[in-house]
Amino acid sequence: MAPREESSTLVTIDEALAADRVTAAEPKERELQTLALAVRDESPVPAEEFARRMEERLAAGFPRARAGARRPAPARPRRRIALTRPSLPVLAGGTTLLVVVVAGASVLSMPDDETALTDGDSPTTEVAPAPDVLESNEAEDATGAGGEASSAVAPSTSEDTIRERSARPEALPGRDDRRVDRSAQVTLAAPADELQEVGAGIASVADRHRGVLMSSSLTTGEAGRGGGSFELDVPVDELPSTLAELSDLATVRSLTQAGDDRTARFVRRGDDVDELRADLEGLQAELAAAATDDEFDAIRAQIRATRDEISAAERSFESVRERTAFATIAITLVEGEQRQTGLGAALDDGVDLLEDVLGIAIRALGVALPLGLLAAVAWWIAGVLRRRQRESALA
Amino acid sequence: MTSRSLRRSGGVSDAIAQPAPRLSAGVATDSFESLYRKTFPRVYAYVASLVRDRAAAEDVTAQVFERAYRRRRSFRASRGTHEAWLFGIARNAALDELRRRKRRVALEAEPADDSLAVTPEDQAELALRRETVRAALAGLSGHERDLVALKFAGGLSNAEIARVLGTSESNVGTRLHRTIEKLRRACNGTA
Repeated sequence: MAPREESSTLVTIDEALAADRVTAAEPKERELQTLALAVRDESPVPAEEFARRMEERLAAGFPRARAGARRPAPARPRRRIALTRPSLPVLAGGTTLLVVVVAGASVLSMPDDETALTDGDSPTTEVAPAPDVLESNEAEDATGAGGEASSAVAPSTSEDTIRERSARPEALPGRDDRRVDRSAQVTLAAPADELQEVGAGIASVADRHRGVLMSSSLTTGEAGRGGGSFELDVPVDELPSTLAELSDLATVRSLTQAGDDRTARFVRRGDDVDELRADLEGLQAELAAAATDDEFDAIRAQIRATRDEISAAERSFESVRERTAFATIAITLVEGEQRQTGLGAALDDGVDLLEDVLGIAIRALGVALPLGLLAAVAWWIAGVLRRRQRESALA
Repeated sequence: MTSRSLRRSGGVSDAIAQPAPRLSAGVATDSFESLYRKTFPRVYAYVASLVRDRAAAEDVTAQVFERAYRRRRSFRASRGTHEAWLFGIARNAALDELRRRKRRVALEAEPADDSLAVTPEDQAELALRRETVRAALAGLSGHERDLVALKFAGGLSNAEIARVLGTSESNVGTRLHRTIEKLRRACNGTA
C-alpha cells in the first residue's frame, strides 16, 4: 500500500469527521467520507436516563457504586493477585533504598580496623612483650589480644592515636613494681629539606626528657638518599611522652615497642647478693673461731672468693636495674613527602573517605543492579502478559 | 443535554475546537468535569461498540469515569492527552468486561434518531445504508473493531489512538487504512 494513498485516505476521512459532512469533490473520496460518517453514525448513544444518572454521580464526585442501587451490579471478578506495575519514581526510589541499605549493611559489618584510613605512610604500632616472664594478665594488657605473644595493631593515620597508645600504661609491659626492659623503634619520614631540622629536633627531645643521645648519624644533600639513624636512652617513665614528641617532628611511618620483663632476674640477682653476704658473715665468724693456721688460711680464701662473687652479683644486679630504668629508642629517619596538616590533611582524608564510600556503593550496586534489572524485566513481562491477556478478549 | 448532542459526539471536530486542558500532572476536579462533559458520549459509544451490550456498556462507562476520577492525580501530560488517558482506562475496563462475560451479543438496535430530519424517500436509502455498514462492521475482527471504535466512536486522533494501543502513529494509520478499505469493499460487495 502506497504511503501517499494511505495518508490521503486518512486526511479525507478526518476532514469529513471534522466538518461533519462530505466535503470532497472526487467520487472515490466522497465515497470514503460517506462511509466514515456512516460508521460514526453507527456509534451507540447513551440513554437519556443513563446520562442523567451519570450527571448525578458526577455532581456527587463519583461515589463507589452500591450493589443493588440501580441494576444489579455485575458479578465482581475473582480477586487475584494483581501484578500492578509500579511507577518509575517508585521503582527508582526502591532501587536507591536497596543500594543504601546494602551500603549501610556493608559499612556496619565492616571490621573497625578496615574503617580506619590506611595508606602506605600509615604508622604501624607493634607491641611485642617478652612472653616468658610476663604474667598472663599483663600479657593481655600488653597485647590487648588475649595473651598472644605479639600483635600488630591496625595502622592508623592519626598521630593522636599513637600518642594515646604510647601514653596508656596498660599498653606497655610492666608496671612500677616490675622491672621491664623497654625499647622502641620509630621510623620517621620528613622532606629532604627538613631532615636536618628533624635531626636537631630529636636531640632536643632527648634533652627535654632527661635522655641521652647514644648515637646519631644523618645524611643530607643527596636527593633520594637523605636520612639517618639515632639511638636514645630515656628514663622509662619518659618513654610515652618522648614518643609523642617524636611523632610531632615528622610523619611516623612505623612505631614498634617491645618490653622484656626482667623482674625475676632482678629479684634473683638481689637474692644472690643477700645470700652471698650471709655466707660472708658466716665465713667471717668461722675465721674468728679458726683453731689452726691451715684452717685460718682456707677460710680466708673462701672469704675472698665469696667477696668476688658478691661483687659480680652486685654488678649483675645493678646492670638489670639500669637496663630497666632506661628505655632505648632506635629512630630511623627517612626522606618522605611533605606532611599534610590542617586543611590539606582534612581534604586528603575527605578524598580517602569518599573513595571508600564509592567503593562500598559500587559493591552495593553490584548486588542491586542485577536485582533491579531482574525486577525491571519481570515488571515488563508482567505488563506484556497482562496486556496480551486483556487483548485476548478481542480475538 | 439533547439527544442530538449525545448522538453527535463531535470527535475530531470537538477535539480541534476545544482542546482538553493540559496539566503537567493530575486533573483538577473542575477540569475533570469538563473532560467528562466532552467525552462522556464518546466513551460510552466506544465501550458499547466493544462490549456490544447496553447494560454492560453503561456499567463499564460508569466504572471508567469512577476510576478516572479516583486516579485523576496520576495523570501525566508527558504520557499523552487527557482523552488518550481516559480512553486507555475505558479500553482496559471494556476488555476486562469482555473477558469476564465472554459476551458476543449484538448490541441492541439503536432507536431511530428523531432529530435527524429525513424525507420518506431518504429513509429507505438510509436504512439500507445503515444495514450495509452494520454488516460490514460485523465482519471486522476484534482488533479492527477496537480500532474503528477508537477512531469513529471515540473520536480520537491517530496519535491518541497510538497512545491508547501502545503502538506508533504510523502503525495506527496503516491499520486504519486497511480496515477502512476492508469496510469499503464489504459495503460495495453487499450494496
